[in-house]
Amino acid sequence: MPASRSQKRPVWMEKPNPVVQVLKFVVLGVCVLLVIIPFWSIVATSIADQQTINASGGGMVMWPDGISLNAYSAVLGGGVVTRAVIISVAITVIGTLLSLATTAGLAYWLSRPGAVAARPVLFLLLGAVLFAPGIIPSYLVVKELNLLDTYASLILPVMVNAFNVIVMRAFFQDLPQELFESAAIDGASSATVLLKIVLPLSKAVLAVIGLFYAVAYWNAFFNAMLYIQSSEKWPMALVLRTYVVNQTTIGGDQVAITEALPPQLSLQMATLVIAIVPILIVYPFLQRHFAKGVMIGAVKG
Amino acid sequence: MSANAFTRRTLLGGIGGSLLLGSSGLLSACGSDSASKNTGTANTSVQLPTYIPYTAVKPDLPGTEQGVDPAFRNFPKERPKSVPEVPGNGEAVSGMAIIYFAAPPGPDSNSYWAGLNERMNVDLQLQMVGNADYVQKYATTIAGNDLPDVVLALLGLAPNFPQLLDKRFTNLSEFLAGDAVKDYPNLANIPTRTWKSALFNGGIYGIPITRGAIGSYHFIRQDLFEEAGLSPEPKGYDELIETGKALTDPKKRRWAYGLYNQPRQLLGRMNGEPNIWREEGGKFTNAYETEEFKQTITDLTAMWKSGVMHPDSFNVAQPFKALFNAGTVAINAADGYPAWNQYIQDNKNTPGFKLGLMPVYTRDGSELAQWALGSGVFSVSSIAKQDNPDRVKMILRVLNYLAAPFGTEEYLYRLYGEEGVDHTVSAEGDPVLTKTGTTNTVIPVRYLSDAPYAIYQPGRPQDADVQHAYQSKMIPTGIANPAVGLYSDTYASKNAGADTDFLNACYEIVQGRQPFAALDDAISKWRKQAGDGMRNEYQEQFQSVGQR
Repeated sequence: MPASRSQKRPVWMEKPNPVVQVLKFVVLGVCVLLVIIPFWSIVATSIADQQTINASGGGMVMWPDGISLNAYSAVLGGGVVTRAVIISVAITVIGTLLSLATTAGLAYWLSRPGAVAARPVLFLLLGAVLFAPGIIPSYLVVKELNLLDTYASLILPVMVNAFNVIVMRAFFQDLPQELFESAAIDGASSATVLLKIVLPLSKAVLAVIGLFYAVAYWNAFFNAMLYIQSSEKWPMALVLRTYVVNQTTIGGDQVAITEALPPQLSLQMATLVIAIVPILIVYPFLQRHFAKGVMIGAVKG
Repeated sequence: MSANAFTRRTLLGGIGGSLLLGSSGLLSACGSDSASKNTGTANTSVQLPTYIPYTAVKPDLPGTEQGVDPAFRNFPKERPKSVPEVPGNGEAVSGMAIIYFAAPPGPDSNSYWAGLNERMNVDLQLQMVGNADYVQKYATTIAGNDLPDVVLALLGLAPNFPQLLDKRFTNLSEFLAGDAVKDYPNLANIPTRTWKSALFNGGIYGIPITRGAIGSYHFIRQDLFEEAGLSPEPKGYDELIETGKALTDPKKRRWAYGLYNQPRQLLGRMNGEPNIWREEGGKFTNAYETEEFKQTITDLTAMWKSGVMHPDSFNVAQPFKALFNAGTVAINAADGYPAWNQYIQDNKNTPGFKLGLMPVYTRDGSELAQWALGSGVFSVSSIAKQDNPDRVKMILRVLNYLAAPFGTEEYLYRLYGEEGVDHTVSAEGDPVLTKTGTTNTVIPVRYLSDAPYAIYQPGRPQDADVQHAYQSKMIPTGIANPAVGLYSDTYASKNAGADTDFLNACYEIVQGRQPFAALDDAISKWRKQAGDGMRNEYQEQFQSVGQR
């Protein structure tokens, strides 16, 4: 084996052209920078003070002069965000578990050949993928079920996502049919088959769909805005939204002087960082399942 | 941009279509008779609430009937009580309003909120909705027919609004018309000119959340003007252009203007455009249709070419306030006038920061141009239909409490909370919000009912004089928009889209991507989409009103 050849390169592969190598490096490097720079700028602005922001022309900061955590202490102080984080975590965890349970159950039913009424239910699901209900009809249903201003209104209306059911069903159908037959011969019930055979073999799809659900629950603000009436029940996404979309901290209409406040832009960016962090923490653990999981839906329907 | 609640941007952000959806269901429930109730004749026959100004607190600089706001250099040392009785009876009063701030803590962990409840003896339940979501939330809540007691209206922007009011909200005439309002002295302190925004279907359908007649200010960075040795009062077109050029230096990232709308408003005043609509002998003409507007577009095209406008001026999401704070732009014309306080607050630590206000002169610079007066209201808050007239009275007493005028004890608490907890008092007697106060006091009660505006900048007595002088200078030249107080369904449902299309066409022309001749096409398109419809509806109502 010639010493110059990398151990990782298979025998049949030729030595790469250095020009192509450099080109690849540059192209990939640019792509990485395109992702990193805005993110870096968000973090940098979130720790900047008003002077730094003014010095950068009133826009985003690339190099903060120092670290000022005022924006974070303003957002996290006062207990509103902390409370909302607890609510959001609870809704995300409970919601994701419920969603996975119902989605897996429904997908299993629909994936078994000869299951009762599987066809019409499947069509119903496809209908739900194509035609989403309007905002006001959904609101009326939630209201008639007396779910307004309850945490359940943040989970129940979005608990089962038809697209996810179809993806999971496709995954279940790909499992070797022989397993089901031998289990049946051994006398296993449908529930045993689902719990002992299907789910353990489906960790990849469960992880991915679980992530889909969890991110959706974590980021959801719109339903909360419509259905939740008392602000102390707001999930974090809605609370953070009031920081990000509103143009003013001490708004044009409040005539008051206050102790010094962090600049609005820093507040907004600190808010973004807070909203991104949980997903950033969870993502690496699910990432290895991710590519496998998303491919399922791509070739089967 | 006026101090009005719902800017074009908000509306677009709110996915206007949902409102249509909400109202179509509503309309089917309404008889066709109610559609014809909102005539000008019916509305002129309404007796407006008697105006009894509150006099127990004396401003340093008095307001005028024309609409100059009273000004206070410091917070009054004597704070009389304006509401002797306790307004509530222990019942819950619910409300829904916009919140422009980060969400405050709920009533159980918010001493200010709990204190307000105690003082009024009510259980105040508030649905707070972020500015960007209010249109959606309003439509959905209305469709759900589960209305809070007091709802901040989408004034002018809700389709079929008069019919909606008729079906779901209380006609307050029997409680407020004429001398009846004397039972609610703080509501009687609301200026007469603002009540006409609350007239629909021949009745009073809400409490105006008032704003000063001035509407907007032309803010300037006076420190940058002085640095460049420029007069903050450029007279006439040529001086304005010279000033703009002197303020601009792209190499230092400095421009005169940050947003298309700023020079557009300045030039509009200078060229003598109408204040949105012009009424002559019962005929309505929109600013867009005038020769004066064409002149403005010509001027803007030249201005853009000369480079005095920020390169991102045509982006409505441009953070123009941040640019102004940073000194990147020096002229921030046509911003809502209460923003004065915010710019002062934002720039407490900006070295040399000096805020100024720029008057605008006619094109030849010989005299002041006609000022475009604001609508006088932020919006109105309407009261949902109640089973019991006594409950309406109780709610009105609560709103009366919340409308306590500047300088009263109730006002001090409503804005600044409890001394020692929510605010401290400076040596000059000005309240300073603490951190607790800053988060606690932002619950949006001021959009259920509010005192008439007063000029006051805590800790900066000189600002009261600057603002009062500017208002006294500009307001006497002012012209009102004749469509204020008239309702157009076309405006509510179609104007936002039509206006955006028109504006985009103007952007193209000003940037030189389209020939000037394209303006005529844009105007006729705008007329077809919304303009003619609005005109007809306004004219019809106006004719039955006559000159109010």
